[in-house]
Amino acid sequence: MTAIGWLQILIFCAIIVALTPLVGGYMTRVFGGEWTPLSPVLRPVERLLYRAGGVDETHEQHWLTYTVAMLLFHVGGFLILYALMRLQGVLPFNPAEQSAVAPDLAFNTAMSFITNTNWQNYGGESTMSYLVQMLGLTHQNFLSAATGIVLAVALIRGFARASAKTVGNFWVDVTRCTLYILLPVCIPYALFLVWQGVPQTLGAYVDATTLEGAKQTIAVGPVASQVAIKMLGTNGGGFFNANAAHPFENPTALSNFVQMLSIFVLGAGLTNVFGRMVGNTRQGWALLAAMGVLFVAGVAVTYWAEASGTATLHSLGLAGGNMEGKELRFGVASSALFAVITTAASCGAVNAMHDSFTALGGMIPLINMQLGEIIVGGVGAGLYGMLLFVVLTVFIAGLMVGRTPEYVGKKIEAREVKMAMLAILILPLMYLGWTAVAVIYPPAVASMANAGPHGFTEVLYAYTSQTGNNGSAFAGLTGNTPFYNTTGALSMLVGRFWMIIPAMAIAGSLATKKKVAARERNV
Amino acid sequence: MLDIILLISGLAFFALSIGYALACERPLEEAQMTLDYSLAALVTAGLLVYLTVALLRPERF
Repeated sequence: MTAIGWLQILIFCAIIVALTPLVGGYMTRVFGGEWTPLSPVLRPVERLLYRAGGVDETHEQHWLTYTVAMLLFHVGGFLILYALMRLQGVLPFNPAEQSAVAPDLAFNTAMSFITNTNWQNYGGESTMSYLVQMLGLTHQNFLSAATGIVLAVALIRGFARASAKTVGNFWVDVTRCTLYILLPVCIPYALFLVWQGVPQTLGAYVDATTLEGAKQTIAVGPVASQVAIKMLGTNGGGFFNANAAHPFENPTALSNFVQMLSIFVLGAGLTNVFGRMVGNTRQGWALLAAMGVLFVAGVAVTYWAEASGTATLHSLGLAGGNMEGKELRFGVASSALFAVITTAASCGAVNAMHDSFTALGGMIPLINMQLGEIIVGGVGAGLYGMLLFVVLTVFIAGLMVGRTPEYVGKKIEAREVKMAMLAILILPLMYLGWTAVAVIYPPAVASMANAGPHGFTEVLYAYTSQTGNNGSAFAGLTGNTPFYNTTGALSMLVGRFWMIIPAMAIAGSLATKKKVAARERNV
Repeated sequence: MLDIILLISGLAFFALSIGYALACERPLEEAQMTLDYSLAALVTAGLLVYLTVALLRPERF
Protein backbone atom coordinates (compact mmCIF):
# COMPACT_ATOMS: atom_id res chain seq x y z
CA MET A 1 0.00 0.00 0.00
CA THR A 2 1.25 3.50 -0.73
CA ALA A 3 0.55 6.98 0.63
CA ILE A 4 -0.54 8.06 -2.85
CA GLY A 5 -3.00 5.19 -2.95
CA TRP A 6 -4.57 6.18 0.37
CA LEU A 7 -4.57 9.83 -0.68
CA GLN A 8 -6.61 8.94 -3.78
CA ILE A 9 -9.15 7.13 -1.61
CA LEU A 10 -9.28 10.04 0.85
CA ILE A 11 -9.75 12.64 -1.90
CA PHE A 12 -12.49 10.53 -3.45
CA CYS A 13 -14.39 10.35 -0.15
CA ALA A 14 -13.92 14.07 0.52
CA ILE A 15 -15.27 15.08 -2.90
CA ILE A 16 -18.32 12.85 -2.52
CA VAL A 17 -19.09 14.33 0.91
CA ALA A 18 -18.67 17.85 -0.50
CA LEU A 19 -20.93 17.16 -3.50
CA THR A 20 -23.68 15.46 -1.49
CA PRO A 21 -25.52 18.58 -0.18
CA LEU A 22 -25.15 20.39 -3.51
CA VAL A 23 -26.56 17.52 -5.54
CA GLY A 24 -29.15 16.76 -2.87
CA GLY A 25 -30.36 20.34 -2.79
CA TYR A 26 -30.74 20.46 -6.56
CA MET A 27 -32.52 17.10 -6.74
CA THR A 28 -34.92 18.12 -3.98
CA ARG A 29 -35.89 21.20 -5.99
CA VAL A 30 -36.38 19.09 -9.12
CA PHE A 31 -38.66 16.56 -7.44
CA GLY A 32 -40.47 19.26 -5.52
CA GLY A 33 -41.38 20.88 -8.85
CA GLU A 34 -39.54 24.06 -7.85
CA TRP A 35 -37.68 26.49 -10.06
CA THR A 36 -34.14 25.52 -11.06
CA PRO A 37 -31.56 27.39 -13.15
CA LEU A 38 -32.41 25.05 -16.04
CA SER A 39 -36.16 25.72 -15.84
CA PRO A 40 -36.25 28.55 -18.43
CA VAL A 41 -34.89 26.15 -21.05
CA LEU A 42 -36.36 22.83 -19.94
CA ARG A 43 -39.79 23.80 -18.61
CA PRO A 44 -41.26 24.34 -22.13
CA VAL A 45 -39.84 20.97 -23.22
CA GLU A 46 -41.31 19.34 -20.13
CA ARG A 47 -44.75 20.84 -20.79
CA LEU A 48 -44.57 19.69 -24.40
CA LEU A 49 -43.79 16.14 -23.33
CA TYR A 50 -46.72 16.08 -20.90
CA ARG A 51 -49.04 17.39 -23.59
CA ALA A 52 -47.78 14.80 -26.08
CA GLY A 53 -48.16 11.98 -23.54
CA GLY A 54 -51.49 13.16 -22.15
CA VAL A 55 -50.05 13.53 -18.66
CA ASP A 56 -51.69 15.80 -16.11
CA GLU A 57 -48.74 16.92 -14.03
CA THR A 58 -50.94 18.09 -11.18
CA HIS A 59 -52.49 14.65 -10.75
CA GLU A 60 -50.72 12.46 -8.21
CA GLN A 61 -50.93 8.69 -8.00
CA HIS A 62 -51.65 6.14 -5.29
CA TRP A 63 -48.61 3.86 -4.71
CA LEU A 64 -50.31 1.02 -6.56
CA THR A 65 -51.01 3.16 -9.63
CA TYR A 66 -47.46 4.49 -9.47
CA THR A 67 -46.06 0.94 -9.35
CA VAL A 68 -48.27 -0.43 -12.11
CA ALA A 69 -47.34 2.55 -14.32
CA MET A 70 -43.68 1.74 -13.69
CA LEU A 71 -44.21 -1.94 -14.55
CA LEU A 72 -46.09 -1.15 -17.77
CA PHE A 73 -43.38 1.32 -18.71
CA HIS A 74 -40.89 -1.53 -18.49
CA VAL A 75 -43.05 -3.87 -20.56
CA GLY A 76 -42.68 -1.34 -23.39
CA GLY A 77 -38.94 -1.08 -22.82
CA PHE A 78 -38.54 -4.86 -22.89
CA LEU A 79 -40.52 -5.33 -26.11
CA ILE A 80 -38.73 -2.51 -27.96
CA LEU A 81 -35.25 -3.58 -26.86
CA TYR A 82 -35.88 -7.22 -27.67
CA ALA A 83 -37.20 -6.33 -31.12
CA LEU A 84 -34.25 -4.03 -31.83
CA MET A 85 -31.74 -6.78 -31.08
CA ARG A 86 -33.57 -9.44 -33.04
CA LEU A 87 -33.95 -7.14 -36.05
CA GLN A 88 -30.61 -5.34 -35.94
CA GLY A 89 -29.39 -7.15 -39.07
CA VAL A 90 -31.94 -5.33 -41.22
CA LEU A 91 -31.87 -2.00 -39.37
CA PRO A 92 -29.59 0.98 -40.15
CA PHE A 93 -26.43 2.17 -38.33
CA ASN A 94 -24.82 -1.24 -38.55
CA PRO A 95 -21.47 -0.67 -40.29
CA ALA A 96 -19.92 -3.82 -38.85
CA GLU A 97 -22.89 -5.80 -40.26
CA GLN A 98 -23.78 -7.48 -37.00
CA SER A 99 -26.39 -10.21 -37.42
CA ALA A 100 -29.50 -10.68 -35.28
CA VAL A 101 -28.82 -11.41 -31.62
CA ALA A 102 -29.82 -14.97 -30.61
CA PRO A 103 -33.24 -15.15 -28.89
CA ASP A 104 -32.02 -16.24 -25.44
CA LEU A 105 -29.20 -13.69 -25.45
CA ALA A 106 -31.60 -10.95 -26.59
CA PHE A 107 -33.98 -11.94 -23.77
CA ASN A 108 -31.20 -11.81 -21.18
CA THR A 109 -29.85 -8.51 -22.50
CA ALA A 110 -33.27 -6.85 -22.69
CA MET A 111 -34.05 -7.83 -19.11
CA SER A 112 -30.56 -6.80 -18.09
CA PHE A 113 -30.85 -3.26 -19.43
CA ILE A 114 -34.41 -2.55 -18.32
CA THR A 115 -33.50 -3.61 -14.78
CA ASN A 116 -30.41 -1.38 -14.61
CA THR A 117 -28.26 -4.51 -14.30
CA ASN A 118 -26.35 -4.39 -17.59
CA TRP A 119 -25.12 -7.93 -17.20
CA GLN A 120 -23.54 -8.70 -20.55
CA ASN A 121 -23.23 -12.23 -21.90
CA TYR A 122 -21.81 -10.71 -25.10
CA GLY A 123 -19.00 -8.44 -26.26
CA GLY A 124 -20.53 -5.11 -27.27
CA GLU A 125 -18.19 -4.43 -30.18
CA SER A 126 -18.69 -7.89 -31.69
CA THR A 127 -22.43 -8.29 -31.15
CA MET A 128 -24.37 -5.01 -31.17
CA SER A 129 -24.97 -2.47 -33.96
CA TYR A 130 -24.63 1.25 -33.29
CA LEU A 131 -28.42 1.56 -33.45
CA VAL A 132 -28.91 -1.01 -30.69
CA GLN A 133 -26.13 0.53 -28.59
CA MET A 134 -27.67 4.01 -28.87
CA LEU A 135 -31.42 3.59 -29.25
CA GLY A 136 -31.69 0.41 -27.24
CA LEU A 137 -29.02 0.20 -24.59
CA THR A 138 -28.12 3.85 -23.91
CA HIS A 139 -31.80 4.77 -23.98
CA GLN A 140 -32.55 2.15 -21.35
CA ASN A 141 -29.56 3.32 -19.32
CA PHE A 142 -31.33 6.66 -18.91
CA LEU A 143 -34.77 5.24 -18.20
CA SER A 144 -33.75 2.49 -15.80
CA ALA A 145 -31.63 4.96 -13.84
CA ALA A 146 -34.48 7.45 -13.75
CA THR A 147 -36.83 4.70 -12.58
CA GLY A 148 -34.56 3.81 -9.66
CA ILE A 149 -34.28 7.43 -8.60
CA VAL A 150 -37.99 8.19 -8.77
CA LEU A 151 -38.90 5.06 -6.81
CA ALA A 152 -36.55 6.16 -4.04
CA VAL A 153 -38.15 9.60 -4.12
CA ALA A 154 -41.61 8.01 -3.90
CA LEU A 155 -40.50 6.07 -0.82
CA ILE A 156 -39.06 9.24 0.69
CA ARG A 157 -42.42 10.94 0.11
CA GLY A 158 -43.99 8.09 2.06
CA PHE A 159 -41.80 9.00 5.03
CA ALA A 160 -42.22 12.74 4.52
CA ARG A 161 -45.98 13.01 3.99
CA ALA A 162 -48.67 12.67 6.60
CA SER A 163 -52.20 11.36 6.07
CA ALA A 164 -51.66 11.34 2.31
CA LYS A 165 -53.00 8.89 -0.23
CA THR A 166 -50.50 9.60 -2.99
CA VAL A 167 -46.73 9.32 -3.48
CA GLY A 168 -46.26 11.43 -6.63
CA ASN A 169 -46.80 10.90 -10.36
CA PHE A 170 -44.53 8.33 -12.02
CA TRP A 171 -44.62 9.95 -15.46
CA VAL A 172 -43.85 13.41 -14.09
CA ASP A 173 -41.05 12.13 -11.88
CA VAL A 174 -39.37 10.14 -14.68
CA THR A 175 -39.64 13.08 -17.06
CA ARG A 176 -38.20 15.55 -14.58
CA CYS A 177 -35.42 13.17 -13.52
CA THR A 178 -34.33 12.55 -17.10
CA LEU A 179 -34.68 16.15 -18.27
CA TYR A 180 -33.32 18.04 -15.27
CA ILE A 181 -30.81 15.62 -13.76
CA LEU A 182 -29.51 12.93 -16.11
CA LEU A 183 -29.38 14.71 -19.47
CA PRO A 184 -27.84 18.00 -18.25
CA VAL A 185 -25.02 16.08 -16.57
CA CYS A 186 -24.47 13.51 -19.30
CA ILE A 187 -24.06 15.97 -22.18
CA PRO A 188 -21.04 17.84 -20.75
CA TYR A 189 -19.81 14.58 -19.21
CA ALA A 190 -19.74 12.90 -22.64
CA LEU A 191 -17.89 15.90 -24.06
CA PHE A 192 -15.36 15.63 -21.22
CA LEU A 193 -14.83 11.97 -22.09
CA VAL A 194 -14.31 12.84 -25.76
CA TRP A 195 -11.69 15.36 -24.63
CA GLN A 196 -9.99 12.58 -22.67
CA GLY A 197 -9.86 10.36 -25.77
CA VAL A 198 -13.10 8.36 -25.79
CA PRO A 199 -14.46 7.93 -29.35
CA GLN A 200 -17.85 9.33 -30.36
CA THR A 201 -18.51 8.49 -33.99
CA LEU A 202 -20.95 6.71 -36.27
CA GLY A 203 -18.10 5.84 -38.63
CA ALA A 204 -17.12 2.26 -39.39
CA TYR A 205 -14.55 0.26 -37.44
CA VAL A 206 -10.98 1.27 -38.35
CA ASP A 207 -8.54 -1.10 -40.06
CA ALA A 208 -4.95 -0.71 -38.92
CA THR A 209 -1.62 -2.37 -39.58
CA THR A 210 0.41 -3.21 -36.50
CA LEU A 211 4.18 -2.71 -36.21
CA GLU A 212 4.60 -6.43 -36.96
CA GLY A 213 2.60 -5.95 -40.15
CA ALA A 214 -0.54 -7.75 -38.98
CA LYS A 215 -3.96 -6.42 -39.92
CA GLN A 216 -6.15 -5.34 -37.01
CA THR A 217 -9.69 -4.01 -36.83
CA ILE A 218 -10.14 -1.39 -34.16
CA ALA A 219 -13.70 -1.04 -32.92
CA VAL A 220 -14.99 2.49 -32.41
CA GLY A 221 -18.49 3.96 -32.22
CA PRO A 222 -20.72 6.26 -30.17
CA VAL A 223 -18.86 5.32 -26.99
CA ALA A 224 -18.67 8.55 -24.95
CA SER A 225 -22.43 9.07 -24.86
CA GLN A 226 -22.95 5.55 -23.53
CA VAL A 227 -20.12 5.68 -21.00
CA ALA A 228 -21.41 8.92 -19.47
CA ILE A 229 -24.83 7.52 -18.55
CA LYS A 230 -23.57 4.03 -17.73
CA MET A 231 -21.51 5.57 -14.92
CA LEU A 232 -23.86 8.32 -13.77
CA GLY A 233 -26.87 6.01 -13.86
CA THR A 234 -24.91 3.13 -12.24
CA ASN A 235 -25.83 0.95 -15.19
CA GLY A 236 -22.33 -0.30 -15.93
CA GLY A 237 -22.83 -1.93 -19.32
CA GLY A 238 -19.76 -1.32 -21.42
CA PHE A 239 -19.66 -0.42 -25.09
CA PHE A 240 -16.68 -2.76 -25.29
CA ASN A 241 -16.28 -6.20 -23.77
CA ALA A 242 -13.43 -5.04 -21.50
CA ASN A 243 -15.66 -2.27 -20.10
CA ALA A 244 -13.80 0.50 -18.22
CA ALA A 245 -10.51 -1.41 -18.55
CA HIS A 246 -10.62 -0.63 -22.30
CA PRO A 247 -8.54 2.46 -23.16
CA PHE A 248 -11.37 3.77 -25.37
CA GLU A 249 -13.84 3.68 -22.48
CA ASN A 250 -11.52 4.89 -19.77
CA PRO A 251 -8.36 6.37 -21.26
CA THR A 252 -6.69 8.34 -18.45
CA ALA A 253 -6.24 8.54 -14.70
CA LEU A 254 -8.49 11.62 -14.74
CA SER A 255 -11.28 9.89 -16.66
CA ASN A 256 -10.96 6.97 -14.23
CA PHE A 257 -11.31 9.24 -11.19
CA VAL A 258 -14.26 11.16 -12.66
CA GLN A 259 -15.98 7.92 -13.59
CA MET A 260 -15.65 6.69 -10.01
CA LEU A 261 -17.09 9.94 -8.70
CA SER A 262 -19.98 9.82 -11.13
CA ILE A 263 -20.96 6.33 -9.94
CA PHE A 264 -21.51 7.60 -6.39
CA VAL A 265 -22.63 11.18 -6.83
CA LEU A 266 -26.37 10.74 -7.37
CA GLY A 267 -26.72 7.93 -4.83
CA ALA A 268 -24.96 10.00 -2.17
CA GLY A 269 -27.03 13.04 -3.15
CA LEU A 270 -30.23 11.06 -2.58
CA THR A 271 -29.38 10.61 1.10
CA ASN A 272 -29.42 14.39 1.33
CA VAL A 273 -32.72 14.49 -0.57
CA PHE A 274 -34.10 12.16 2.10
CA GLY A 275 -32.92 14.44 4.90
CA ARG A 276 -34.35 17.54 3.26
CA MET A 277 -37.70 15.99 2.37
CA VAL A 278 -38.33 14.57 5.85
CA GLY A 279 -37.29 17.91 7.33
CA ASN A 280 -34.21 16.68 9.16
CA THR A 281 -30.98 16.78 7.16
CA ARG A 282 -29.12 15.00 9.96
CA GLN A 283 -31.08 11.85 9.11
CA GLY A 284 -29.64 12.05 5.60
CA TRP A 285 -26.13 12.44 6.94
CA ALA A 286 -26.71 9.52 9.31
CA LEU A 287 -27.58 7.30 6.36
CA LEU A 288 -24.51 8.46 4.45
CA ALA A 289 -22.32 7.90 7.49
CA ALA A 290 -23.59 4.32 7.88
CA MET A 291 -22.86 3.73 4.20
CA GLY A 292 -19.46 5.41 4.59
CA VAL A 293 -18.36 3.12 7.42
CA LEU A 294 -19.14 0.02 5.36
CA PHE A 295 -17.52 1.54 2.29
CA VAL A 296 -14.25 2.51 3.97
CA ALA A 297 -13.99 -0.92 5.59
CA GLY A 298 -14.50 -2.57 2.20
CA VAL A 299 -11.94 -0.38 0.46
CA ALA A 300 -9.37 -0.94 3.23
CA VAL A 301 -9.67 -4.74 3.05
CA THR A 302 -9.63 -4.88 -0.75
CA TYR A 303 -6.72 -2.48 -1.10
CA TRP A 304 -4.73 -4.31 1.59
CA ALA A 305 -5.45 -7.72 0.04
CA GLU A 306 -4.56 -6.64 -3.50
CA ALA A 307 -1.47 -4.71 -2.41
CA SER A 308 -0.27 -7.69 -0.37
CA GLY A 309 -0.42 -10.07 -3.32
CA THR A 310 -0.56 -13.81 -2.82
CA ALA A 311 1.78 -16.42 -1.36
CA THR A 312 1.96 -18.12 -4.78
CA LEU A 313 3.16 -14.93 -6.45
CA HIS A 314 5.70 -14.32 -3.68
CA SER A 315 7.04 -17.88 -3.96
CA LEU A 316 7.74 -17.16 -7.63
CA GLY A 317 9.84 -14.19 -6.61
CA LEU A 318 7.25 -11.61 -7.71
CA ALA A 319 7.32 -8.87 -5.12
CA GLY A 320 4.52 -6.34 -4.70
CA GLY A 321 0.80 -6.53 -5.14
CA ASN A 322 -1.44 -8.68 -7.28
CA MET A 323 -1.39 -7.12 -10.74
CA GLU A 324 -3.08 -9.99 -12.58
CA GLY A 325 -6.11 -8.65 -14.43
CA LYS A 326 -5.30 -5.03 -13.61
CA GLU A 327 -4.37 -2.17 -15.90
CA LEU A 328 -0.83 -0.94 -15.26
CA ARG A 329 -2.00 2.63 -15.91
CA PHE A 330 -4.44 2.43 -12.98
CA GLY A 331 -2.43 0.32 -10.51
CA VAL A 332 -3.60 -1.47 -7.39
CA ALA A 333 -5.19 1.42 -5.44
CA SER A 334 -7.41 2.69 -8.27
CA SER A 335 -8.40 -0.84 -9.26
CA ALA A 336 -9.31 -1.80 -5.69
CA LEU A 337 -11.21 1.46 -5.15
CA PHE A 338 -13.07 1.07 -8.45
CA ALA A 339 -14.03 -2.54 -7.62
CA VAL A 340 -15.50 -1.56 -4.25
CA ILE A 341 -17.32 1.47 -5.67
CA THR A 342 -18.82 -0.44 -8.57
CA THR A 343 -20.18 -3.20 -6.32
CA ALA A 344 -21.19 -0.93 -3.44
CA ALA A 345 -23.24 0.91 -6.01
CA SER A 346 -25.07 -1.39 -8.40
CA CYS A 347 -22.95 -0.15 -11.29
CA GLY A 348 -21.02 -3.19 -12.43
CA ALA A 349 -18.57 -1.39 -14.70
CA VAL A 350 -15.07 -2.72 -14.09
CA ASN A 351 -11.59 -1.33 -14.71
CA ALA A 352 -9.95 -4.58 -13.54
CA MET A 353 -10.97 -8.21 -13.72
CA HIS A 354 -12.58 -9.19 -10.42
CA ASP A 355 -11.99 -12.86 -11.22
CA SER A 356 -8.25 -12.21 -10.88
CA PHE A 357 -8.47 -10.54 -7.48
CA THR A 358 -7.05 -12.28 -4.43
CA ALA A 359 -9.46 -14.35 -2.37
CA LEU A 360 -10.08 -11.55 0.15
CA GLY A 361 -10.05 -8.84 -2.51
CA GLY A 362 -12.70 -10.69 -4.52
CA MET A 363 -14.74 -11.41 -1.42
CA ILE A 364 -15.52 -7.72 -0.76
CA PRO A 365 -17.30 -7.08 -4.09
CA LEU A 366 -19.32 -10.24 -3.47
CA ILE A 367 -20.24 -9.11 0.05
CA ASN A 368 -21.14 -5.65 -1.19
CA MET A 369 -23.61 -7.13 -3.64
CA GLN A 370 -25.00 -9.64 -1.17
CA LEU A 371 -25.67 -6.83 1.30
CA GLY A 372 -28.12 -5.61 -1.34
CA GLU A 373 -25.87 -2.84 -2.68
CA ILE A 374 -26.95 -0.44 0.00
CA ILE A 375 -23.58 1.30 0.38
CA VAL A 376 -24.67 4.37 -1.56
CA GLY A 377 -25.97 1.79 -3.97
CA GLY A 378 -27.48 2.06 -7.40
CA VAL A 379 -29.15 5.36 -8.14
CA GLY A 380 -32.30 5.16 -6.07
CA ALA A 381 -32.08 1.44 -5.50
CA GLY A 382 -29.34 1.93 -2.92
CA LEU A 383 -31.43 4.33 -0.89
CA TYR A 384 -34.65 2.35 -0.91
CA GLY A 385 -32.61 -0.78 -0.10
CA MET A 386 -30.99 1.00 2.82
CA LEU A 387 -34.36 2.31 4.03
CA LEU A 388 -35.69 -1.24 4.09
CA PHE A 389 -32.84 -2.14 6.42
CA VAL A 390 -33.61 0.95 8.49
CA VAL A 391 -37.21 -0.23 8.90
CA LEU A 392 -35.97 -3.59 10.13
CA THR A 393 -33.33 -2.06 12.40
CA VAL A 394 -35.79 0.36 13.97
CA PHE A 395 -38.23 -2.51 14.52
CA ILE A 396 -35.58 -4.69 16.21
CA ALA A 397 -34.30 -1.77 18.29
CA GLY A 398 -37.90 -1.03 19.32
CA LEU A 399 -38.31 -4.62 20.50
CA MET A 400 -35.08 -4.41 22.48
CA VAL A 401 -36.03 -1.27 24.38
CA GLY A 402 -39.74 -2.03 24.61
CA ARG A 403 -40.99 1.00 22.66
CA THR A 404 -43.17 1.37 19.61
CA PRO A 405 -40.72 1.51 16.70
CA GLU A 406 -40.77 4.75 14.76
CA TYR A 407 -38.55 6.51 12.26
CA VAL A 408 -38.60 10.17 11.24
CA GLY A 409 -41.95 10.54 12.95
CA LYS A 410 -43.60 7.49 11.39
CA LYS A 411 -44.62 4.45 13.40
CA ILE A 412 -43.18 1.26 11.98
CA GLU A 413 -45.78 -1.46 12.31
CA ALA A 414 -46.29 -5.08 11.29
CA ARG A 415 -47.18 -4.25 7.70
CA GLU A 416 -43.97 -2.30 7.03
CA VAL A 417 -41.77 -4.94 8.68
CA LYS A 418 -43.37 -7.79 6.73
CA MET A 419 -43.02 -5.92 3.46
CA ALA A 420 -39.37 -5.12 4.25
CA MET A 421 -38.73 -8.81 4.94
CA LEU A 422 -40.38 -9.80 1.66
CA ALA A 423 -38.16 -7.35 -0.21
CA ILE A 424 -34.95 -8.36 1.53
CA LEU A 425 -35.42 -12.14 1.50
CA ILE A 426 -36.21 -12.39 -2.19
CA LEU A 427 -32.57 -11.57 -3.05
CA PRO A 428 -30.83 -14.51 -1.30
CA LEU A 429 -33.66 -16.78 -2.38
CA MET A 430 -32.82 -16.04 -6.01
CA TYR A 431 -29.03 -16.08 -5.98
CA LEU A 432 -28.64 -19.02 -3.60
CA GLY A 433 -31.42 -20.97 -5.27
CA TRP A 434 -30.12 -20.60 -8.81
CA THR A 435 -26.54 -21.23 -7.71
CA ALA A 436 -27.67 -24.49 -6.12
CA VAL A 437 -29.42 -25.51 -9.33
CA ALA A 438 -26.47 -24.48 -11.52
CA VAL A 439 -23.86 -26.48 -9.63
CA ILE A 440 -25.79 -29.74 -10.00
CA TYR A 441 -26.98 -29.21 -13.58
CA PRO A 442 -24.30 -30.69 -15.89
CA PRO A 443 -24.64 -28.18 -18.80
CA ALA A 444 -24.32 -25.32 -16.29
CA VAL A 445 -21.30 -26.93 -14.64
CA ALA A 446 -19.66 -27.21 -18.07
CA SER A 447 -19.70 -23.40 -18.33
CA MET A 448 -17.29 -23.00 -15.42
CA ALA A 449 -13.73 -22.17 -16.40
CA ASN A 450 -12.38 -23.19 -13.00
CA ALA A 451 -13.07 -26.29 -10.96
CA GLY A 452 -13.54 -26.41 -7.20
CA PRO A 453 -14.28 -23.43 -4.93
CA HIS A 454 -13.32 -20.79 -7.49
CA GLY A 455 -15.71 -22.25 -10.04
CA PHE A 456 -18.45 -22.24 -7.41
CA THR A 457 -17.68 -18.58 -6.62
CA GLU A 458 -17.96 -17.71 -10.32
CA VAL A 459 -21.50 -19.09 -10.39
CA LEU A 460 -22.45 -17.54 -7.04
CA TYR A 461 -21.02 -14.20 -8.17
CA ALA A 462 -22.95 -14.37 -11.46
CA TYR A 463 -26.31 -14.91 -9.80
CA THR A 464 -25.56 -12.46 -6.99
CA SER A 465 -24.57 -9.82 -9.51
CA GLN A 466 -27.66 -10.37 -11.65
CA THR A 467 -30.09 -10.57 -8.74
CA GLY A 468 -28.55 -7.45 -7.21
CA ASN A 469 -28.76 -5.70 -10.62
CA ASN A 470 -25.01 -5.07 -10.54
CA GLY A 471 -23.71 -6.56 -13.78
CA SER A 472 -20.05 -7.14 -12.95
CA ALA A 473 -18.76 -10.68 -13.33
CA PHE A 474 -16.15 -13.18 -12.30
CA ALA A 475 -15.27 -13.52 -15.93
CA GLY A 476 -14.35 -17.21 -15.95
CA LEU A 477 -17.96 -18.30 -16.33
CA THR A 478 -19.32 -18.71 -19.87
CA GLY A 479 -22.72 -17.17 -19.36
CA ASN A 480 -23.99 -17.13 -22.92
CA THR A 481 -25.89 -20.41 -22.77
CA PRO A 482 -29.67 -20.91 -22.80
CA PHE A 483 -29.61 -21.95 -19.13
CA TYR A 484 -27.64 -18.98 -17.82
CA ASN A 485 -29.39 -16.52 -20.15
CA THR A 486 -32.89 -17.48 -19.04
CA THR A 487 -32.26 -18.09 -15.33
CA GLY A 488 -30.12 -14.96 -15.18
CA ALA A 489 -32.91 -12.92 -16.76
CA LEU A 490 -35.36 -14.23 -14.18
CA SER A 491 -32.92 -13.37 -11.37
CA MET A 492 -32.60 -9.80 -12.65
CA LEU A 493 -36.36 -9.34 -12.96
CA VAL A 494 -37.15 -10.72 -9.53
CA GLY A 495 -34.20 -8.93 -7.92
CA ARG A 496 -35.38 -5.61 -9.33
CA PHE A 497 -39.16 -5.62 -9.36
CA TRP A 498 -40.01 -7.92 -6.47
CA MET A 499 -37.88 -5.76 -4.25
CA ILE A 500 -39.51 -2.59 -5.56
CA ILE A 501 -43.12 -3.72 -5.08
CA PRO A 502 -42.95 -4.27 -1.30
CA ALA A 503 -40.83 -1.10 -0.97
CA MET A 504 -43.57 0.86 -2.73
CA ALA A 505 -46.20 -0.81 -0.54
CA ILE A 506 -44.25 0.54 2.44
CA ALA A 507 -44.25 3.98 0.81
CA GLY A 508 -48.01 3.86 0.40
CA SER A 509 -48.57 2.60 3.92
CA LEU A 510 -46.30 5.21 5.52
CA ALA A 511 -47.79 8.06 3.51
CA THR A 512 -51.22 7.41 4.97
CA LYS A 513 -49.94 7.56 8.56
CA LYS A 514 -49.90 10.63 10.73
CA LYS A 515 -46.62 12.01 11.95
CA VAL A 516 -45.92 11.26 15.59
CA ALA A 517 -45.47 14.56 17.37
CA ALA A 518 -42.00 15.22 18.78
CA ARG A 519 -43.52 15.75 22.24
CA GLU A 520 -45.14 12.32 22.09
CA ARG A 521 -41.91 10.76 20.85
CA ASN A 522 -39.93 12.00 23.79
CA VAL A 523 -42.23 10.45 26.38
CA MET B 1 -41.17 -20.00 -31.93
CA LEU B 2 -38.51 -19.40 -29.26
CA ASP B 3 -39.11 -15.66 -29.68
CA ILE B 4 -42.78 -16.09 -28.87
CA ILE B 5 -42.04 -18.27 -25.83
CA LEU B 6 -39.53 -15.76 -24.47
CA LEU B 7 -41.79 -12.78 -25.12
CA ILE B 8 -44.72 -14.49 -23.42
CA SER B 9 -42.45 -15.40 -20.48
CA GLY B 10 -41.40 -11.77 -20.12
CA LEU B 11 -44.97 -10.52 -20.30
CA ALA B 12 -46.10 -13.21 -17.86
CA PHE B 13 -43.54 -12.01 -15.34
CA PHE B 14 -44.86 -8.46 -15.53
CA ALA B 15 -48.45 -9.70 -15.23
CA LEU B 16 -47.41 -11.69 -12.17
CA SER B 17 -45.72 -8.59 -10.75
CA ILE B 18 -48.89 -6.55 -11.12
CA GLY B 19 -50.70 -9.35 -9.27
CA TYR B 20 -48.05 -9.21 -6.57
CA ALA B 21 -48.51 -5.45 -6.24
CA LEU B 22 -52.28 -5.90 -5.94
CA ALA B 23 -51.74 -8.55 -3.25
CA CYS B 24 -49.52 -6.15 -1.31
CA GLU B 25 -52.30 -3.58 -1.35
CA ARG B 26 -54.89 -5.91 0.18
CA PRO B 27 -55.29 -6.32 3.95
CA LEU B 28 -52.34 -8.30 5.28
CA GLU B 29 -54.34 -11.30 6.53
CA GLU B 30 -56.12 -11.64 3.20
CA ALA B 31 -52.82 -11.39 1.31
CA GLN B 32 -51.28 -14.00 3.59
CA MET B 33 -54.12 -16.40 2.89
CA THR B 34 -53.66 -15.84 -0.85
CA LEU B 35 -49.97 -16.59 -0.43
CA ASP B 36 -50.75 -19.73 1.57
CA TYR B 37 -53.20 -20.93 -1.06
CA SER B 38 -50.70 -20.17 -3.84
CA LEU B 39 -47.93 -22.11 -2.10
CA ALA B 40 -50.33 -25.00 -1.44
CA ALA B 41 -51.31 -25.00 -5.13
CA LEU B 42 -47.64 -25.10 -6.17
CA VAL B 43 -46.86 -27.98 -3.81
CA THR B 44 -49.95 -29.86 -4.98
CA ALA B 45 -49.03 -29.41 -8.64
CA GLY B 46 -45.45 -30.54 -7.94
CA LEU B 47 -46.64 -33.62 -6.09
CA LEU B 48 -49.07 -34.43 -8.88
CA VAL B 49 -46.28 -34.38 -11.47
CA TYR B 50 -43.92 -36.39 -9.23
CA LEU B 51 -46.47 -39.06 -8.37
CA THR B 52 -47.65 -39.38 -11.98
CA VAL B 53 -44.08 -39.91 -13.19
CA ALA B 54 -43.45 -42.34 -10.33
CA LEU B 55 -46.59 -44.25 -11.30
CA LEU B 56 -45.71 -44.49 -14.99
CA ARG B 57 -41.95 -44.98 -14.65
CA PRO B 58 -41.33 -46.56 -11.24
CA GLU B 59 -38.00 -47.99 -12.47
CA ARG B 60 -36.55 -44.49 -12.45
CA PHE B 61 -36.87 -44.14 -8.71
